[in-house]
Amino acid sequence: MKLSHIEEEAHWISLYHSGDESALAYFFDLHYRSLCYFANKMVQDADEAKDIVSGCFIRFWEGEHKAQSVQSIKSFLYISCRNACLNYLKQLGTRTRIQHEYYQNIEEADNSLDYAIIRSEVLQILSLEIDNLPEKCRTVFKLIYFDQKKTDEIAEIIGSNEKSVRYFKAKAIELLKTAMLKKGLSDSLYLSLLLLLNRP
Amino acid sequence: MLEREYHIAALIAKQLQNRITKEELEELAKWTAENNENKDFLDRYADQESVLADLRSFYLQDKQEIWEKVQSGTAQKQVRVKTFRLRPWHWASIAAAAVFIIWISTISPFQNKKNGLPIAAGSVDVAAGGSGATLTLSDGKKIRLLDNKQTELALEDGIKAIKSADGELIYSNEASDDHPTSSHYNILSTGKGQTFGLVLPDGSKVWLNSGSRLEYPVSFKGKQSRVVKLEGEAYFEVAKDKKHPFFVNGSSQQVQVLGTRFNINSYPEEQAVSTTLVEGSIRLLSGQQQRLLLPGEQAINSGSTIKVVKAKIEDVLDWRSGEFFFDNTNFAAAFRKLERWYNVEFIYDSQVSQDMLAGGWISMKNNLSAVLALIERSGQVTFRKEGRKIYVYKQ
Repeated sequence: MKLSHIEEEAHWISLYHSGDESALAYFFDLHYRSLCYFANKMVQDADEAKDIVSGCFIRFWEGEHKAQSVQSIKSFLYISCRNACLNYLKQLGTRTRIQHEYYQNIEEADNSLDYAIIRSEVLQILSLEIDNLPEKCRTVFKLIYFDQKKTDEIAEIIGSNEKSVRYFKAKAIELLKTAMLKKGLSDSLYLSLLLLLNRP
Repeated sequence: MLEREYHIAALIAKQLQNRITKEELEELAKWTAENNENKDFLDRYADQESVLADLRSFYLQDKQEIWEKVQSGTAQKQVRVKTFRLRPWHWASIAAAAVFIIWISTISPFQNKKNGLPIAAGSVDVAAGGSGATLTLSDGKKIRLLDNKQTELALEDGIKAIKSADGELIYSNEASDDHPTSSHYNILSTGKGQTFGLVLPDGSKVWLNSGSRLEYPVSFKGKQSRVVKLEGEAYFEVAKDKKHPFFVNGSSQQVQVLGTRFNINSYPEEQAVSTTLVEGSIRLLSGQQQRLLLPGEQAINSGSTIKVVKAKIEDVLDWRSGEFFFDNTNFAAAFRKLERWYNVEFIYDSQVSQDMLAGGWISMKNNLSAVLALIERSGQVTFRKEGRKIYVYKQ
């Protein structure tokens, strides 16, 4: 039985309040990518970003479990992450040009927006779109596009034949075309996506 | 707090997805016109190649590595949760089709007496282990260290040791000049179901798990290195002394201690010797190979190879915490922990799948029947007890 959006949120918040570890796993699953992407943009160091992000989740779990909504948990994590990144950059003393630019951006006037957070969130929304593809399509799409596997490799991984793989690939393109590709987006985008997906 | 950011992100995503309404498009256009930063930011989305590249790196994050850091960071804390469930994605990497999961929940034994399946009638329950050990002197004389009274022991060559009231044998510290020297060796050994602590003459501490044996010199004075010999499992906290390196010798490997806290699991019935470093650094020497370990790493020595992995510290050191802890361990390895503590033997029916994994924790103070009843609740296996033999059947 699939819960409605509101029921599902209430379910996880209540588990979080009672300190149930499956809630930690759930929020981790939901947010680790956007936090990592965001931390990486700020500190420009993949290993450091991993430490910072895991630290955020640890602090989230060790604190009082008082947040009332999924969104406030997301904001807590982003802000905790941002502060940890800024501290790290401060400690670093010397900053690369990119870090410096970003750092300055943050320190500016209160009403300036955090563009890195916006960028993270856009990617998160797009990735959820991919996650919403039907199961086999999603698996095949990820294997082609992210793991860069070939058709025969994919057939073996999912336990299907190559004909089925091509079918799922075509279906994924079709669905993503309507979902993700804007009318009037440059032809080069559509073409490069097709080329990527149509690699043997 | 970040509502504006979330809102703008939603608009941009909708535009990319061709789902944006007329009103929303106007709102986004207005935002873009507000200042140069906004305009520049939105322009970056026109570079679709970089959006796709970003999306790709967004997906390829090392979830496992980060999750493990989170788990070890939160696991040390006192806060315990009522039940320990793992989400389905956690099992994605396990290839075997027949993977069952045994859960051992922390519902108190009292509650369990109502729900648990009864162990075969007429059998006597098995009590949990406790502290106890046997000290063997160099002349072969054995002293049992069982009761919980503090006693002073007079050993060879005027060396003194104190058996504490709570399961520790403490050799007097030989730092003082008038401490006697000796070339004798003592052996401290534990039987099944026993654990014991030891403080060596240099102040190093060793905790022995069940069915283990440590041979050590009664005095380190006059020796270049401090060498002890281990069979079974022990946790060490070695006192720093750069001039006199500390070595733990086993049948297939030697550990050179460069600084403090580690656990060695070298039971003969386990397939490999596992050495886990908590703090400090140690060098592992085995045949032609050597490996330097960093804190949090575990070396698995099968005799022919040494593999280094990230340690599941809670799983390794559960015997020190007074609770069994199974962190997706192969269930046979988990049951061997129970075998050593309760001094029983599990005999598996051929129908029982070898691929099961165990997860959860339970206090080591429970009687065996309570533990078995909890495991039966997982619905995977049932037990039949005959004295010290426990037959395991598929449920």
